[in-house]
Amino acid sequence: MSEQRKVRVMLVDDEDHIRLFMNKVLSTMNAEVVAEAGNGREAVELFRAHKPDITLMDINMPIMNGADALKKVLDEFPSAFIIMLTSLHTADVVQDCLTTGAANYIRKDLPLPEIKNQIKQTWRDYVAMRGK
Amino acid sequence: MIRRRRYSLSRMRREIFEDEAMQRERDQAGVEDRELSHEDIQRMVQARRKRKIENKPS
Repeated sequence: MSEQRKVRVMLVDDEDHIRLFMNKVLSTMNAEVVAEAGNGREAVELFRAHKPDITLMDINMPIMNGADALKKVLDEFPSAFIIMLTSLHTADVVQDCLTTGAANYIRKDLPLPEIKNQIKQTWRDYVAMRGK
Repeated sequence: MIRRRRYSLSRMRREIFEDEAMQRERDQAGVEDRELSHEDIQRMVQARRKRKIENKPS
């Protein structure tokens, strides 16, 4: 994003076309996708292996959903930076993910510039907070 | 052992406080268990982030 080195991102979504699309979007944001997972269990395993700077996590996925994967990753890596990017936005799910420790919760149906803006802004806030 | 129990209680209190605070935010925003708009969600995110910064040990 605005940092010199590329921000390392993991994409977690069971839909290939969403991962492909976000991969292209992130390549325009000084970010590189270091891992892609198609379900929550894979996400936990790949997080251990790659320790990405940012994880973009869907919720509705087979085998293990994104909310459970969020809990598992944060239990093991409390400073993990995970943004939920999902079409599911009922109050109870949003609250659950934020209480668990998601850094942001972004609706997939937002216009693309707003999704990019949210990711950038969340990352900037995180870097600023970490530096304090 | 005693120290661990104290930590646990303190953590429990903090979590209850956070849940109550989140519920207040939702009540203030007039939010029920329904689909939230982007603005509703971002209000919740910002409130949570602000609290996290305030609670960060100096």
